[in-house]
Amino acid sequence: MQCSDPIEIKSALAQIGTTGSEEKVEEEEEPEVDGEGGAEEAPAEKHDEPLAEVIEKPPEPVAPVAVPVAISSNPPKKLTNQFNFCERGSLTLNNPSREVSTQTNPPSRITFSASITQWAIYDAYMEDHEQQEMKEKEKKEKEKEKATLAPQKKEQEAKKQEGVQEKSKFTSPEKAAKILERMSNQNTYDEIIQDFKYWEDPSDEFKEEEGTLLPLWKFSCDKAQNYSVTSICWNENCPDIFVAGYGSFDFKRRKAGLMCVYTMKNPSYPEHLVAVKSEVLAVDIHMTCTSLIVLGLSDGNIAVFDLTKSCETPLHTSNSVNNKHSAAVWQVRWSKELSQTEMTIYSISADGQVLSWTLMQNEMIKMKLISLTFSTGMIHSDDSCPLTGCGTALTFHPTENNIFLVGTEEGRIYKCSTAYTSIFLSESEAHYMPVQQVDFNRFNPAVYASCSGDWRVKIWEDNRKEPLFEFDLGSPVEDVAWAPYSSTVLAAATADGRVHVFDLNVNKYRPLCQQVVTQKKKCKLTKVSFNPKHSMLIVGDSFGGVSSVKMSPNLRKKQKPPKKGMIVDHETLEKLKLDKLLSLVREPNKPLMVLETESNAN
Amino acid sequence: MMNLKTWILQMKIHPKILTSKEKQKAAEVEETLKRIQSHKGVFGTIVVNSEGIPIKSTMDNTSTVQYAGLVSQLADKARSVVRDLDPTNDLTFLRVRTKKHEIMLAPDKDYILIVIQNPSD
Repeated sequence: MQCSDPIEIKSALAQIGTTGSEEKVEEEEEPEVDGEGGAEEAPAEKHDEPLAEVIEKPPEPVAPVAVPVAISSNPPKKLTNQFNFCERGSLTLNNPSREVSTQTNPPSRITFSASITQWAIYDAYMEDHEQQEMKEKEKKEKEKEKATLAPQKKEQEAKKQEGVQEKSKFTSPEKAAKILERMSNQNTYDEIIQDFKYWEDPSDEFKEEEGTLLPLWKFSCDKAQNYSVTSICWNENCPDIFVAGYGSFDFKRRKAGLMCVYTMKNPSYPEHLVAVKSEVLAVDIHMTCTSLIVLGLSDGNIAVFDLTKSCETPLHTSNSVNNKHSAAVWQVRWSKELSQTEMTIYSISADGQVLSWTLMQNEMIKMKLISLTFSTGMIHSDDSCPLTGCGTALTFHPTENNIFLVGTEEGRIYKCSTAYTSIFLSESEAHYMPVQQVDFNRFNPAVYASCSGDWRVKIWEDNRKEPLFEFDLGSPVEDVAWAPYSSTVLAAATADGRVHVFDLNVNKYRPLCQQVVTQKKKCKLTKVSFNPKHSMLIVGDSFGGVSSVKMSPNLRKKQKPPKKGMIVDHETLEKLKLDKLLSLVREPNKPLMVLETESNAN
Repeated sequence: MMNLKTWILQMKIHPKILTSKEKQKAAEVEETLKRIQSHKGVFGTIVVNSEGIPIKSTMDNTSTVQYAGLVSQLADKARSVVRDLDPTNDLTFLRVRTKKHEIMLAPDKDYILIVIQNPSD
């Protein structure tokens, strides 16, 4: 701040021009200035002094202003000097600075470290994706709800919400436990697994018309020891899974029944174990939806289980008053689906009725009676009420869904259609004893095989009264099955514990293999079935065990394509082979051969 | 060592009571482990949680702790190898066959199950 007036400066400059008067003025000024200023001015030069210099002392603002005014009025004007100027500096008073510091608590820190990998990022993205999908689903459901205010759907939603909540972060290690069990089984049964995969009996090259069965695993369950295996069925989708139904053929004692689902990967314990109230006599797995299993029980009921949902309670079951057979159900079959929502089961029982059961809308089981009562017609009684036969076997035609074959206890085989409820398409007196099983050839559905307790296996052709082949096996034949890979191979299981395997192309008179499969002497075989994919058979016996055997190469001969280079597929080859064989065997209008095989027990 | 069920109930992270489905699953797992233990040649089974702490074991304490610590590290490393190569892939199981026996481990979402078996018994 400068309090200097322009008058002041002029007077000062005027003083500089005249040196004489300058000194006087200076002297006059000096004491005043000095009085005002202080030690700071002492070293100042004479040139400096004439500049009106105002020391700024806040307590004395008035005095310095007054003095130069007094001076300027008295002395003469002096010439101004443009060139001679001087600078003067001075120090201003600085505010004394002080330091005041405070310390606060530092913001709390946590050290976090992690390493990130590509898959952690991937997992995070997948989770997010899933959550978004869930949200979309919920939105859609809400919209549907608004459209139809059905209370049922609210229940379903509530259930789904429960289901979502149940997917808690806590999971028990079930999958890992299962995997470990299978691994440990793999170690124990290592040799058998290697055999199953790789063993091909080399001695078969030297035996032309003989084959052998190599025993593999034996599947059994502690609970099933007192039962006999009454039915077995392979799972088409997963060829290592099969279902075995346990019951007994002894109708004096009624017991509870059992059904087990086994997998070849774990021979020591079944995957699923289902207990039912009465003995299981028939099992069938649905062709496409392979978690649905239907059981035919000895009290006449039918139960459908869904393995994905629950092993304890059946999905559907027939009621015990009206909606059931009045006698034991011998065979149940899923029918090929006509529509996606409706699934149909056909069952045959000892009361002579073939019933069809329809599952609709996933909730209801509705029974539609297509009852085919069999009137034997042979025995006429005075009462004129037709005798009904007892059905024991039922199979469907592989290509035509409406046609099926029925075997009865009287030894007859009827060909029927679902379209006609009271008339049979054909009828034949097949056996002297109850027909145990009927099976269609996979490649030529006009050919079918039947077996019965009269020791015989007969092979028929459609529209022929006489069988094409007839084999006497020396013991009641419990089951017969055609092979899925060849049109001329079939297997039969007899009550003396033997499995007979025939290949009609190789030998029309004798089986290629007659082998005892069970260890205990009194053990009867009850069922036999070919694995759809691998070259093995499973055989059920009367002591609750299911044995698996591998077939040697001679039993698995497939037709080789002709060398001329025409690419013909396997099925056609097999059909051709069978046709050729049949044309040899068929002699028009002549009785066909009745062949006896060796019936000596070894 | 405690029952798997009781361990589940004691976990602080999940204070809610087990639903019937979960109880059923836990019971099935218990049964499976029992069966594995009674299998031919099996020395012991250990269930380890995701932090490497053994929950259930049929072996003595010192070996359990040793196995749990070492094997869970191995499982994690193996898993990370598989997933680094292809994130859509995941480890199903791991077998380590040694001169004396075989260590089999199956990792799960929150657990690792370990079984020590002598295969050539």
